[in-house]
Amino acid sequence: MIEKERLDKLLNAYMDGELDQRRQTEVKRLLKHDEYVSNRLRQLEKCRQLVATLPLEEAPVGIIEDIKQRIENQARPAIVYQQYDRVEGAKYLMVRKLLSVAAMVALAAVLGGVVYTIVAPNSGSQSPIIAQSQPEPQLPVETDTTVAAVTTDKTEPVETAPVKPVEPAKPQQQIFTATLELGTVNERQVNAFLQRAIADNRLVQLQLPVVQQDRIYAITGSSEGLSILLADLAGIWNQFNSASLYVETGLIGQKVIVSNVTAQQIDKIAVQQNTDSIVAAAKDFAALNRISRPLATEQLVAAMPGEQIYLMPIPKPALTSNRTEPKPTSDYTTQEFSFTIVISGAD
Amino acid sequence: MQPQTAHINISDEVLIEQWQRGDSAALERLITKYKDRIYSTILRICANRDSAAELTQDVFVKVIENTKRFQAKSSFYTWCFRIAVNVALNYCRRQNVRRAVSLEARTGPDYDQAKAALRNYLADDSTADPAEIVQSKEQLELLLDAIDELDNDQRAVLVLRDIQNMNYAQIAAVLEIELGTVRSRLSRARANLRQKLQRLLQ
Repeated sequence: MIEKERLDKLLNAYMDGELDQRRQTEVKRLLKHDEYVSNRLRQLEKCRQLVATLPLEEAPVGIIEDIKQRIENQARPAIVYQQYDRVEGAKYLMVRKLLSVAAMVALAAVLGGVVYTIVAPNSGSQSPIIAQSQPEPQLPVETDTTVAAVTTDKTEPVETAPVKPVEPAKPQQQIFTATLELGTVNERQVNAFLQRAIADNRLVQLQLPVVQQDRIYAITGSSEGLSILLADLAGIWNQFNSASLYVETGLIGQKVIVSNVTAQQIDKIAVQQNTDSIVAAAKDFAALNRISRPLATEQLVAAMPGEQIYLMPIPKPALTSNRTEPKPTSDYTTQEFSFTIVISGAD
Repeated sequence: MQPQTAHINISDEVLIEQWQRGDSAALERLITKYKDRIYSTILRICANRDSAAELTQDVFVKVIENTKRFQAKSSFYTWCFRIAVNVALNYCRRQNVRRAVSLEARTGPDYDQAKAALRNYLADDSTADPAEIVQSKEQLELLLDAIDELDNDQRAVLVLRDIQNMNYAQIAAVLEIELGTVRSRLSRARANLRQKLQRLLQ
């Protein structure tokens, strides 16, 4: 059987021209001398010729059109979509790149802003952190009603720093900051007058968490409002047996003390345009009052007969019509001064 | 045979290049060139005209879809026939039973004459012309029935060799098998075909 298969393979290869020259020679010799081999070759040859004579079938008419139709339905749209997808993909990638760049720029800007906020120097008046970090001046304890008299004897204002109430937040335009200590025996009347004057002049009175809140008035507002308040106070200035003004210099722990200060002097100090001018005016009045302290006003007048004393009384606004006197408009957003009035009395 | 194949390969390369540049006429020429051979090969393997027409379309669609990936490692001719034979064999495997008509079903006077003619042809001392055999419808059907009875792989080798006139190397390339396997399959295919015909003609 195996020999027959080998013979068939050899004869088929011979028949199909797939043998080399040497094997072809061998097969030819076998065919010449072996009848079985020659008969087998004829059988295989007839079989091969029978199949080989099968007609070549032609493809159905219209198959090209069918193929083209299928190509149009499948291949062409795919190519078109591929090209479309390629273009859209390129656009999408470009948009993504632009968005990425924009996002990076925005992120860098935000980070820059944050870093600048952290490391950039801030002005003292605007930075609550820096303001809180400043050491508070040593506050003396209010003991008696002779604070003004005691402080007038002092030459170093730092040692006689008054009670410092809680100060309001300083707005940017605030210039004049001072504390006025007033000593009086009519404390109740003075307090009532002050409360009414503050309300009438629509000044902002800050809440004070101290126990003696009714004696301490921390007010703020416009310069005009302060002037009017001082004019009101000038009317009862004779009720005070002492009046000392502590003007902030802008330096920590340093104040200018103006003893025996008058309402007019306070107004002159307060209307100065900058802190240096305020300090200079306060020092001038402090020096002037030290010199003139032993002399009462009446004595000065008596000592200068014929001479007109210009104490510059502050004119009060007067009604000129039946209409209700318009109080100065309250501009609560304007904080041009921070003024603290401490009323000390002997109840 | 070899010069013809070489001529086909050169032409195919030019047509493919033109098609890849967007020349749809080149594609049409390629289809026209091979449609009958592909169809005939598929028909002899799967033995169904409608299916052969459908599968031929599938072959060319696959060829077109993969033309851009086609590389000249093998000839377009070989590549195209490889796709066709694979498509046809896959179809045969899916169908499992190739034909409902058995060899014994061919009965009647016409088939008796056809069988007699075929017996005479296959006789050792006969000198009948094989071309006259296939002229008869009944004899042709009997022959096709015997071919259809062959194993799928043997039938594919027989078709490629005796109908498409491929040499052994080309058959090995199309079927992606060894040259010795081609020899074995072809030898068994012819021997089996003769046995089946003899059984039919008894």
